[in-house]
Amino acid sequence: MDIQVNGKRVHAATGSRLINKEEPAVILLHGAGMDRTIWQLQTRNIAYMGRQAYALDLPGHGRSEGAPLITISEISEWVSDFMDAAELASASVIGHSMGALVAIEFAGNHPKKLDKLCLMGIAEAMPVHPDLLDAAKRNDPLAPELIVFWSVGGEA
Amino acid sequence: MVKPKFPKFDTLSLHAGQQPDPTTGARAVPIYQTTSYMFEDTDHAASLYNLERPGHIYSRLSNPTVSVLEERVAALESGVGAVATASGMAALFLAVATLMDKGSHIVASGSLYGGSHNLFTYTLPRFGIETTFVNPRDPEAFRKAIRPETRLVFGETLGNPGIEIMDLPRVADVAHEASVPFMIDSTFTTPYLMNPFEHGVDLIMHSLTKFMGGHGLAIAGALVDSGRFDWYASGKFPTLTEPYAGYHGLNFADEFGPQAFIMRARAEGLKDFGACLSPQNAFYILQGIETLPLRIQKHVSNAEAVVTFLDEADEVEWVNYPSLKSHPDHELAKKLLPKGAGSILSFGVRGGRIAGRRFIESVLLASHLANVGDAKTLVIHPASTTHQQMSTDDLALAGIGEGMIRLSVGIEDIQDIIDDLKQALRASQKG
Repeated sequence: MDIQVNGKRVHAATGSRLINKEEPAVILLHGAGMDRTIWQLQTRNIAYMGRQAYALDLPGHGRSEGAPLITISEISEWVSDFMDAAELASASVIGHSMGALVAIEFAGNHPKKLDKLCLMGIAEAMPVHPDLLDAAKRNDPLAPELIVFWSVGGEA
Repeated sequence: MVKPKFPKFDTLSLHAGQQPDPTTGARAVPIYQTTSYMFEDTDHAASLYNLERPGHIYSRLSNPTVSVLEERVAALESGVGAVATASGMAALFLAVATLMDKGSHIVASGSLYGGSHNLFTYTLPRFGIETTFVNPRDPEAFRKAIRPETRLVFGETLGNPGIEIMDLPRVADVAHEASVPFMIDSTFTTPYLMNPFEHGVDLIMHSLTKFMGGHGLAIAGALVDSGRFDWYASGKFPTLTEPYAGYHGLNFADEFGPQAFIMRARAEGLKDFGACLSPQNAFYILQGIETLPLRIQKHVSNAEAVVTFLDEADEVEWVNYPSLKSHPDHELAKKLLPKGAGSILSFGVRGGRIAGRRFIESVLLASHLANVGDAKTLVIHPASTTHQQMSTDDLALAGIGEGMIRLSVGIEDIQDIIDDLKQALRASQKG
């Protein structure tokens, strides 16, 4: 589905199931450099368990318009704006990696809008390797390669 | 500066897609010879059927042994996924059926495997899909042949049997300017000699029966998705960007993003057309892929030695192989195929059709049969076998003369191969 948030098109996968506003809502937030399609089967499974599922493309990612947002705080306010645009009084929020940081920030700032919180791939401190940051600033393909390399690990 | 340490090609050939079996410790890929898989409960069954969970349902759709092969081929090609099929032809038809409907059009190289040519020329028109064939060496001819209803540009990395090399980056540009994907049959080069996705190709099909298996034991095919074609931006592929009633309105591009094509090919094509690969045959092909890098090196060095011999032989009128300076694609070969141009070549025996027949009937080590890419050396006369259904004009477009011999150079001792060719050439001139 496409919806306007702050004048920009925002895209969300809904598990290809029709939205029923009577059902509880679940918002899925992807990590840095990714988009809604990391949640492929989860989105469908959540939707078909009787939820409104919204796997969001963050601004500038996937099929959502606009420049990417810079800070975790900005993204968490944007999640709140999306909920207002979609007329969701509250939702459960699932975040992966950077999306989990956004989910925590959102939970702290908007406790009344939060039903349940689910955090994946998160730690107390989440430093990013300086070489990855440098590569990302240069728009060097090394950045996604490092993300994939560290995500998969040595065993896979 | 840190660098990712991804496993290299030779390692992937042995390991990609498989870990030792956690239950038994079996190191080799087990053959899961089963049609069906137990469901945990009715909810689990329903979610598998509805593409909400990963898992196996029925071996027409997926099978654990076949999955290892699919992941291995996808890894070797740097694709986002693969579907293994009953044959290379099944892979080609699966791609066409996933991409287009009645009224669609394909632009294809005129120098194709005879089976592919037959599908495009005689069979697909019965289902309302037409094909225009063009010279594989002329990217502008591809551009001119594209129509508003074109949905695929198709060719072979090395033409069959003319060994033409397509200028993949230029043909890819032509396809992408028209917002259609570019698919390549990479059977003759295998991922060891070339990675077509690096040259702008969107989809790859293989006959795994050939060099990938290498042993001539099993028929198999594969379709590999680069994940790079933007189906939404193209706007020409409703099978991928619009709701599919077959799965209650599932939109493949929306839910699966870069894997939209390969998911639809499995969820619709394997399910409805049923040309799946058996686990036993997947196992055979996996055994072949383990030694792919070693075999291809030997295939190429033997082919180059055979070409040198044939080029100097009095009984041979011409030799067609890209390592020869006389080959029209010699420079392109150096760019696209730096590790070698495979081991399939064609040549003309002095004395035309009759001498060609005598040559084929005189070989002792080489096998006269309808295959290529076996570890054993193979010979055939295309005009009377693999391409015999083609008209004279189509034969000319494909560069097939009546005296042409196609040779698939194996990995026997090179001196034995050359000795056999030498005595058969001598015999071809007697009569």
